[in-house]
Amino acid sequence: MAGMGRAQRGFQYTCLLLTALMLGLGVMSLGRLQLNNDILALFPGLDEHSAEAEANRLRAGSIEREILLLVYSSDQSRLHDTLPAVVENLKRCDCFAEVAARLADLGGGQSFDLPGAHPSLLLTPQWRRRLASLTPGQLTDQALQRLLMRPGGFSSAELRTDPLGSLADFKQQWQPEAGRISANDAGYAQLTLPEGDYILLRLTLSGSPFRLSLQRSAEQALAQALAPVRALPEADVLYTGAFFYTLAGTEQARAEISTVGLGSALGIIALFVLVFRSPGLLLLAFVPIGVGVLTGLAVVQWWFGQVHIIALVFGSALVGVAIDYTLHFYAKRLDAGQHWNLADGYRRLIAPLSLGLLTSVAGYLSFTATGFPGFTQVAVMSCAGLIAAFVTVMGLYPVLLARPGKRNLSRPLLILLNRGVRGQQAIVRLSRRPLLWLLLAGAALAIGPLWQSNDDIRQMQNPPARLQSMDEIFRSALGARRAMQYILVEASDEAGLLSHLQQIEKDLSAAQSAGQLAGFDLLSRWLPSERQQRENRALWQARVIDSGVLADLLNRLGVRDAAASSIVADMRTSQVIEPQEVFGQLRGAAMPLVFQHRGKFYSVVSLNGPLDAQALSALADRWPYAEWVDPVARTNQLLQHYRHNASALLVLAYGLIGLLLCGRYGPGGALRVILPPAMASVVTLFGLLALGQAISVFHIMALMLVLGIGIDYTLFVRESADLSRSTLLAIGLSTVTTVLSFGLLALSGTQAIAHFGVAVFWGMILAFVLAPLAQRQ
Amino acid sequence: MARWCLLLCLSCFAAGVWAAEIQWRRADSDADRRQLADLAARLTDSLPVRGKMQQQKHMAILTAPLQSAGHFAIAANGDMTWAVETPFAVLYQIREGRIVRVLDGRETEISVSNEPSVYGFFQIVGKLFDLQLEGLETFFTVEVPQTPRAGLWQLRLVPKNRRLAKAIAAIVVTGKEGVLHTVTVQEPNEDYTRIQFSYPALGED
Repeated sequence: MAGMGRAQRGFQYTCLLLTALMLGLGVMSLGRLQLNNDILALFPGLDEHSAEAEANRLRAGSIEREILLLVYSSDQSRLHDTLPAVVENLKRCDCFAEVAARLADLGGGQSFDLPGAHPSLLLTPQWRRRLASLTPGQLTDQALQRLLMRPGGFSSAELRTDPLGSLADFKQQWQPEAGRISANDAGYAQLTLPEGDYILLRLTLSGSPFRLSLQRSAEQALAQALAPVRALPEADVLYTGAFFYTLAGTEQARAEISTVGLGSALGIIALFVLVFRSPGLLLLAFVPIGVGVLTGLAVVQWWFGQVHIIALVFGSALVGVAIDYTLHFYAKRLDAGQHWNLADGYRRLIAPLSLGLLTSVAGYLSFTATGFPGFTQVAVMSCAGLIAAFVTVMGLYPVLLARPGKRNLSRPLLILLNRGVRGQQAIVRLSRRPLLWLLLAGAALAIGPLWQSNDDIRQMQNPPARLQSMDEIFRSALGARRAMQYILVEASDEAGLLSHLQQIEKDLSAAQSAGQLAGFDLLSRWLPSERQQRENRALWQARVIDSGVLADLLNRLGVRDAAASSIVADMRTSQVIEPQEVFGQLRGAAMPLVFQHRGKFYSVVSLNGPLDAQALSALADRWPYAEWVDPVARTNQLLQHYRHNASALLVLAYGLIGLLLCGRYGPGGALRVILPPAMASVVTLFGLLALGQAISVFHIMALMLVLGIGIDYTLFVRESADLSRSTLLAIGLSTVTTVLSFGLLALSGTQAIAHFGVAVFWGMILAFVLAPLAQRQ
Repeated sequence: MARWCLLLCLSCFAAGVWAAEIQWRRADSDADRRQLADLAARLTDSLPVRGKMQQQKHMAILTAPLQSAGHFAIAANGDMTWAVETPFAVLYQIREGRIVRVLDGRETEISVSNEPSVYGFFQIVGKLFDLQLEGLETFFTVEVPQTPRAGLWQLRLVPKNRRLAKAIAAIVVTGKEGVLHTVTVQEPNEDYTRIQFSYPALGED
């Protein structure tokens, strides 16, 4: 390190110390990484403290942890013999909180018992209509027929507690899906599909399906436990649940990380072998990347408490940009050959590399202004990773690469670079012709009308077709198809909440009759409001007790006088169930969601599709105490909103970087530095439109990256006195590695990632080609 | 918990009398198992079978038992027709495990959730006609008389499950040769239900 000034040496030692520190922290935090692959987590959520956010959280908590399995074999007897062991093996895994195969173990309304339930209080709308419209004679005849036509008859307990069967009908509302499920000979829950009788198993995960450790153990437990079933004759296993979608998402992300990582690594190796011809340099090139990735992950885990899988994919690739620092160092050393002077090289590198880091970090940090949690993670990971890679290069390389290299530029490479420099000069000359600009403007005007955008989140995900088809089987077999949309009802107390729900029930029943939705479930079907209970009781008193229907029924059955008097007395007296007393007990996966939030009471009205969202949303607008919630539409709106915001921010970022560079290069120079990435972005955008691609927020995110990296290129070009070979070599190699990484992202099965990849791919190639425009005139 | 369904079903199908003089023991010896297997084979061989049925519901709170009557038919594959003629006409059809009630020309599918008692009734009766021991022993302990009666066979089914036992004390089944004659469901109280079957086609009335 002879010849390095004191300040340079101080900077280098500081960098070396920081490198060691970050490496240590990165390695230590590896074991604590927690990955999240929920694509919706990429997007800004609601105000976390809103009731809607709480409803979403509670809904997701119960829905996302549920797993449904349907198992079948043509040998039903052996299937039944196998099931106890299957259930036991699944229960042994900590990953499952509950495993149920017997019908009543499946939970839901069957296991719920409302304290104080009395037929006079709990009447379905149908029973209210019946009591109001039928004559006493008709009511008695119907009740008698119901009791006497049943094989096996009825019990005295039933006669005493529910003489008309109205209470049983009310409780029937608590089991919307149970009608399709029956108990087979062995007591297992059975569902009849066209292919045969399947046994239904319901599993509840012990934690979030997004936890990778839980995913692994649950997947393993399921594979092991179901292996004996799969070995049975004509066995079939169907499954559904958020777990399988997250598992597929994780697998896809893993595969894509491997592809991107492998492609990137192979590209870098090939380049290093061809250009630098040194295994030592090849290994050394990965050190800043390794330190960068480790530091990036550690910072994201520490900051956010978890690492989003998209942040890992994008962040890793972005940190791969850190290879640029290495490339600039190596290129400068290789080009100098035996004349390599560390102090001189270090001095020449420190300004453009620092400026490059500064502008890249500024570019990435602009991601955070979009408000996307996922992209904020990408930005944080990239910034932390780049800084770590920068300090590694600036701290470690002077120690190891102080002496000149053993090899000079190879002859073919030298020829190639000289041609490249001439090509760049040609581009600069071409750019001075007004005709070119006129042509570009004409093309832009022609393509402009083709503008189209896409903000639909559903098109950006890629759930496996097999999972979707199994999902459809479950939906059609179990009947109701729970819609994503729901209605959130608010009240200041429990009684008010039930009263609102009563009104909603009435309106939704009418909407259901009009074919606007397939069905719905709400709390008032489990517990009517106090007012409704009183009305029910008055109706019951008038039409069942005072009219003599009950007395006549008991008489015609031949019930002894004493028993009849006792039954009539019991049916006459009932105590209104106060919601405050039972609200705490209204918990369970199958029950409508009810919760307290910031002193107010809320309940969710679930809807079954197919439904007319527009009509129902308009209906919900009529209730001042209720809100129509459509999570998908809300996400799409957010995507559109953030596409607009990100576009504005991109323009703002160019302006800010331009201002930042004005100090060093003056207004004209700064404009020249930002022009190439800006032009690359515009041409990419118009190219994609010309190819018929609709622009999404992910394209705009990619253009932010084009700005961040493209500015690096132009800074080096600007800092070179003229178009130097070492600069061309460094930015050329950087473009190839970046394009390799992001080009592979364009092949992703997830449209959002593919959009990002394809825009970065073309944007970076153009940014490289146009970079010479930044040179001094 | 599937027992829960049968509990509900059978609680409605409950009742029963039992002859106190008969002493019962568990049918767990090899000889018992062989005899039960023979009986199951004879019952199965007698299918398809058709006949008349008469049901009496004895309840302590009633001055007289409730009665209903009709006819039934059971196919070899277990499909069943159960037609109540008095006091109200109603038809139940069981096809491949699916139960449908036809009342005034209107069909209603019966499931464990919408009518557990009816569902449970047919689950049990269906298994009694060909003595499906495996299915029955999931929920009941099978007992036989200490001293068998000449020319008759008798079985007693005692619920294994406590929840089922709250509704049913025992089910006593009596038959002759390869056919079933009486099913009596005794509730834990004094109430019971007795269903008698006769087979005019076999010369019985």
